Amino acid sequence: MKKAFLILILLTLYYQVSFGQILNGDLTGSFESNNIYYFNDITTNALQPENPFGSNNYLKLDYRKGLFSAGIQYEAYLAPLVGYNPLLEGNEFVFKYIQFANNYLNITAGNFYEQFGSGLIFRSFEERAIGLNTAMDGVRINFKPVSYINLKAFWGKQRKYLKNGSGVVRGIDGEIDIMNAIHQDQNSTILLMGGSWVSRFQTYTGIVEDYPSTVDAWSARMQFEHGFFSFYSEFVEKTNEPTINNQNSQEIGNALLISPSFIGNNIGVNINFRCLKNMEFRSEREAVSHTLLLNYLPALTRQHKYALANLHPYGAMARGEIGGQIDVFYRFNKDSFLGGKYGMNISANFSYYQNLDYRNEEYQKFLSFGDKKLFQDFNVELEKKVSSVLKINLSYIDMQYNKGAIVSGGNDFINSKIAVVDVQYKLNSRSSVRSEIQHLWTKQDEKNWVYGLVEYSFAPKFSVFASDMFNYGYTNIHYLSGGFAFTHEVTKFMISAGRHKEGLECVGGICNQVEAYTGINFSITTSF
Amino acid sequence: MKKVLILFIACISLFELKAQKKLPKIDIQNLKGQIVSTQSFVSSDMPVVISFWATWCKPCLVEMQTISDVFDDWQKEKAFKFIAVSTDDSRSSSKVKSLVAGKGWPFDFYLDPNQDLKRALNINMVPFLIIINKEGEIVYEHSGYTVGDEEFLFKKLKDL
Repeated sequence: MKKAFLILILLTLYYQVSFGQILNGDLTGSFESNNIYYFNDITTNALQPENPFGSNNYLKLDYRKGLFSAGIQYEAYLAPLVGYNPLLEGNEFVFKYIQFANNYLNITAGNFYEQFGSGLIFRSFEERAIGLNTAMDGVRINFKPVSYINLKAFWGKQRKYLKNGSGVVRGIDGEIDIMNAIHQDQNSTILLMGGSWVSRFQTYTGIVEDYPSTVDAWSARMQFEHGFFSFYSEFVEKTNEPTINNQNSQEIGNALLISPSFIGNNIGVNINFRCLKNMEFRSEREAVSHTLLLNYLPALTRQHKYALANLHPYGAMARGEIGGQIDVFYRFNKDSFLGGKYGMNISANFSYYQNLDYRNEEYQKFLSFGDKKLFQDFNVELEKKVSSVLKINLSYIDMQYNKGAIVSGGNDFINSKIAVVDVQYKLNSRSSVRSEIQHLWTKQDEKNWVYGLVEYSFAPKFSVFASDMFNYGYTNIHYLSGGFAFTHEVTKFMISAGRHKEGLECVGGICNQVEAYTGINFSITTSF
Repeated sequence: MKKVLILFIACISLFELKAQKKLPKIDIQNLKGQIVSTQSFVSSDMPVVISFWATWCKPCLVEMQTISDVFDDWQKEKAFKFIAVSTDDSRSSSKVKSLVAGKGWPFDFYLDPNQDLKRALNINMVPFLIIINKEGEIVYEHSGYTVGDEEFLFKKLKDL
């Protein structure tokens, strides 16, 4: 903190202006506080932590004046909420930066986030909801010598809980807008090409001979668009690094992503194909869980909005995976046969993933299909405005989830079918009621589930909800929950209480098991 | 905790002193993947609404569909530009182009895949709306969406 103030004072002196004038810059920020008081709950085996009160707090401040900006982020975990790593306990100014930016040059010293391409090779980002923050601490330069060339370089250490890890990471990235470079004007065809190199160094003091202290990765990517068709592709290669996460594999890492899209009048289609082989890339070789991740390997599946559809979430298998998904979006126009008076939207998705084939016991074959299905999901959603006050959403999901392969390494399927009816009814111009009924059918795991939700809102300030998720035929547990939210412009208060089921939380190819808890939650978020 | 409170109070008191905040200059992407600066958002003829949303965010989709349904009627009463910035990361950002085509939404779309703009505007969660006046100043901000909120947005626009 002292550092940040020192920086502000130095900037003031540099400009030789009074402190009054410095206030003419823009000072903005945000504050977020999530607090839960936990109870013992014998029914769900949810245990009250030793410190029954968990509290995660974030304060962010940014100051901008002219070409300069500076900022900080303060975080306090007293104690960390259930599901967050206990090592986050404490409080610290974790993020501090100063930045100079004009139209062609941007220099940041201190902490920064960055992404190269789609993040397959490098992405440093923040996902507060699951306690993930992979911010870098070092120097970042972004240089645009001409409008069609974008160059980036950085070097630094990566955040590890409230401190920095020991690995040093450096990277460069370049992108060229080829059609603009040739014609220098508006083109109907777009062709962008880019490439990156990312390298990590961490001293090795162990006894294994020829153990790599440096891990290098490079990537090439392109984006093409003409008329109704567009296409994105990216390829990555990474040198070997045996770690606990890849069972000490000597394989090199590879990733290929191919994503074409077709769009038309009221229709859109998007396809993703991706193959991953030994692609876990971290800034410390000993790192586990959601820490020190250098790249971003999300599950390329439909991200479901409904509770029961998220009971069995797929997480990308960084070790080896091949598959893809196709999405179709279509709108029936107003006054058409199926569209009716207000039109109707339909969307469908099919996702499928399999493991890779093995060349021998240790090495997988890139772009091959193994013998194990990991995940399959077919889902369709219908969205219909029936009258000026009534909207109905219907969803059907057919999911095959290889719990064995995803969670423990075996082969143990959960085949489920989920149906959702979601109705929104407008009582008058300000108040409305929304209700969800969901059902999940399966013969495996914990058998059938049913879920109900009622939500009443009074615009623009109040909303209140109550829900129950009930497992019948196996545990017969009700997961009741209810709460109240108050919003005033950009400030939101929320109080809720209820039972939460244990489950998997997956981000960027890494899944964490979160324990069950029962508690009262109070949160406030605001920005200024 | 005490430190946080002191800082919080200090910020709010500083906030009272300062002038209207401006839209920061940040690079984001258009749907073709090209880099675009937020500078180009400011319009000298009309106010601009910037809506932050995501393909996986239920209230965001409801809000966008609602505004899309009344968009033409609103434009007849008050001209304004509507920019929708998707905060989807690479898990779902490749779907944005086909989703908006398939929904037939009449807005200008941009991508903020590593949340650079969202962070610069200190947005905690989506949906989030801001209105920018002809000078590029942020004159209205709103977090979240409940049915009926759109009427308050439109009233604010008409008052500008």
